[in-house]
Amino acid sequence: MNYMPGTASLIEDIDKKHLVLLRDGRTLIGFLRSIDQFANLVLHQTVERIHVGKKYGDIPRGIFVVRGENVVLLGEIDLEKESDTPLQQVSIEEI
Amino acid sequence: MATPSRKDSHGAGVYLPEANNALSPEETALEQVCQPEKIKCLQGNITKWSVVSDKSPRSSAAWGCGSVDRHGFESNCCSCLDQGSGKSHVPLALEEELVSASQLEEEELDPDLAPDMEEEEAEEEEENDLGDPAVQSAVHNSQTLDHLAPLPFRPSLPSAGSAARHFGPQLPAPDPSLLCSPPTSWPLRLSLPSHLTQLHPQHQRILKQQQQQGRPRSPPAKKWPQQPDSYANLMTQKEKDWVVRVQMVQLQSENPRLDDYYYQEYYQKLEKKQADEELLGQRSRFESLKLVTPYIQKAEAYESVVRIEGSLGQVAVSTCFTPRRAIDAVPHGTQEQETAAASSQRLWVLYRIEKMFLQLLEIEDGQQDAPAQPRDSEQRSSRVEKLFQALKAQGQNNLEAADDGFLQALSVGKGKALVARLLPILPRDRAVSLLLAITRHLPFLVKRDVADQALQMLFQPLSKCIRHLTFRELLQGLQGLMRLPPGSSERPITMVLQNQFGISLLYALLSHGEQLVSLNSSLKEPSSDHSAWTDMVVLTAWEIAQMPTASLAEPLAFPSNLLPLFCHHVDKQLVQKLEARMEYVTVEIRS
Repeated sequence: MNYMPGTASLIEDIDKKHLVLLRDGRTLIGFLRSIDQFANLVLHQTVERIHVGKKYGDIPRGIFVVRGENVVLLGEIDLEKESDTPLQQVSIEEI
Repeated sequence: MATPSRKDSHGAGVYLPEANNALSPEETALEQVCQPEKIKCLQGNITKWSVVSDKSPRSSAAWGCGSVDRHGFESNCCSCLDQGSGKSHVPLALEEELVSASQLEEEELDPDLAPDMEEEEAEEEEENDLGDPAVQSAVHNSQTLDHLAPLPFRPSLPSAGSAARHFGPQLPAPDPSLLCSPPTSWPLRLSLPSHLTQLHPQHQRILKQQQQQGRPRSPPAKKWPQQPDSYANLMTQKEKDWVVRVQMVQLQSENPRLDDYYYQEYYQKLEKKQADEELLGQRSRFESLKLVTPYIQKAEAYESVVRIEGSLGQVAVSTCFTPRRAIDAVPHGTQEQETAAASSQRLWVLYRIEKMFLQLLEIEDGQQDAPAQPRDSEQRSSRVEKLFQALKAQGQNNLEAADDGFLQALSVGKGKALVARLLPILPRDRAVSLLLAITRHLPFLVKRDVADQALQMLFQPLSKCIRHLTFRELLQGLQGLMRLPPGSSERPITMVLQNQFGISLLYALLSHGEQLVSLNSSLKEPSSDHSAWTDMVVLTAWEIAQMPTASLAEPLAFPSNLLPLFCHHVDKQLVQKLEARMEYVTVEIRS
C-alpha cells in the first residue's frame, strides 16, 4: 500500500504464507516468494492441501510457479490462527 | 493483481499498554518480560545478531521492556527464554537489537538482509506485554531508541521450541518507507510514549480496544518458529520496484477523472475531510497518499506491417506489443445492413443512449469544473443542443414518426435517467417540447413502464419544467390526453389516471393551469382558450369520478389548489365524489 495507495498489489504479500486457490480446484499453501505484473506466483515450500469433509491431508510439493491467469484467489495465512481450525489433519494415504 | 491487498493500517507497532513503565526498573521489566504468552519473537534478519546469553540485564534496564518498533514485531522471546535459565534478560536484549535494527537505516545494513519491516497483521494486534509503551512507532516516522546499546543477538530458538512446522517464519519484505526515513545511528535513542498519537487512528482504536480487553488474543501455547527465514528477499527491492513500475504504467491515463472516477472522487472527499479536520484543530492528521502514476511517454504506435520497397508482400516484424504479426488482418468488411429486427433495434437504441450519456457527462463535468465562463457557455449550449438533437433523432428507418427516437429512448430505464438529468440543463423551449412530447404519448409510456416503474424519476424535473409552461402550451399538452383515439371509446386519460406518474403529472399540469388562470385575469375572459380549459377540467373531473377509487393511482404530489379548481367548474355532486377520492389519496400521502 505504501507503494501504490488506493490500489491492490501483491508486493506486500511477499515472503508470507499464502493459500492459493487455482482454477482447477487445487489448493496450494506456500510462501509467496516472487511475483510479476501478471500475478504469476512463485510459491516456496508448497503444500497441496486436500480436504475431505472435516479432514485434510497435505502433500508436500516443493516449489511452484503458478501462471497468474490460473489463480482464482489467494490470501495470506495468519500463522497463529492457522492452528485454530476445526479441521483435522490426517495422513495423505488416508485421504 | 489477483488479490486485494491487506487494507489494515500499517500503523505502527504494538502498543505497549503500561504507560507508566517507561523506563521502569529492571525488576518489573524482567517480570514482564517473562510473561511468555503474548510475545512473539521477532522474525527478521536474525542471522546478524547473536545473543549474548549472559548479558547483564543492566544494559537493557533503562530501556525497559519490550520496545516495539514501528514495524510491530514483538520481541517476545520468552519462548526463547525458556531455553535457558536465567536468560530473562535475553529477550530484552533481543528486543533492543531487533528494534534498533529495524530503526537502523538501510544504509547501514545490507538491504537484502534488513529485517523484515513490514507489519504482520498478527503481530500488530499482539500486545507486547512487556509493558513499555515507550516505543510507539508511528507509521511514517522512524523512532529512535534510547539507551540501546548495540547488542549482538543470535536467536537460540532451535527446534525444541518451535513446533514441527515445515514452513519457516515469514519475513515480510522490507518496507520502502523505511528506506526513506532519516538515518539513525547506534546507539539509538528511545522516544517517549506519546507517539501513540502518530498511529493511524484506526490502529489506535484497535490497540486501545485490545488494551481494554486485557489482550486475550494470543493463544497461550503459541509456538512461533524462531528460525530465520533464509529464503527471504529472494525478490530484490529492484525487482519489486520494477513490478510496481510496470503496474503504474498500466494505470496511467490521459483523463483520470473519466477512467478512474471513483478513486478520484473518494480521494477528493478524503482530502476535504482532512482539511476540515485540520481546520478544526485536530492535530493528528495524517497524510493520505494518493496514487500518482508516473508520466511515461507512450511509445508511438508502431507499424504493424513493415513494407520494404520493392519487395512483394509484407515482412513480419515482432515487437513487444505483438510478438508476431504475420498478416495484415484488419477487417475492412462492410457493415451488414441489418434489418429493423427487434433485437437490433433495441441494441441501436441502447447504443444511442450510451452515446448520449457520454455527452451528458461531458456537459455535466464542464459545468462542475468551470462554472460561468463566458466562452465556455457558448460551447456548452452548443453541446446541449447537439445532445437534444441526438435525443430526438430518429431510428434507423426514417419512416418512423418524429417523436419515435425520443420515445424509444424513454422506453429504456437508462433513457429515462438520461432525460431526467438532461431536463434541468435544457433551455426552456427545448424542455417544454420534451414535456409536451411526453404528455402526448403518456399512455404509451405508461404502458411501457409497467415493468420497472422508472418514470417516477422524471417527475421532479418535469414538474419544474411545468412551472414554466405558458397557458397555450399547457392546453396543448392536456388536449392530447383528452382526445378519443380512433377505434376506442376510452380516452387515454383513463389509463393515465391508473398510473402513479401519469396521475401526478396530470395533477401538476392542472394545478399549474389553475395557478395561471388565477394569476392572470385576462384568461378568465371567455375565449377559446378558456373554454378549452374549462372543458378539460370538467372532463378530467368526470373521469376521476368515474374511476373506482381503488384503481386511482396515488400521485407523487398532490397540489393544494386542485379541489378549489374543481369546485369552480363542476357541480357539487361531482365535487363531492371527487373529494371522496382525492381525500382518500391525500390522507394516504399525509400518512
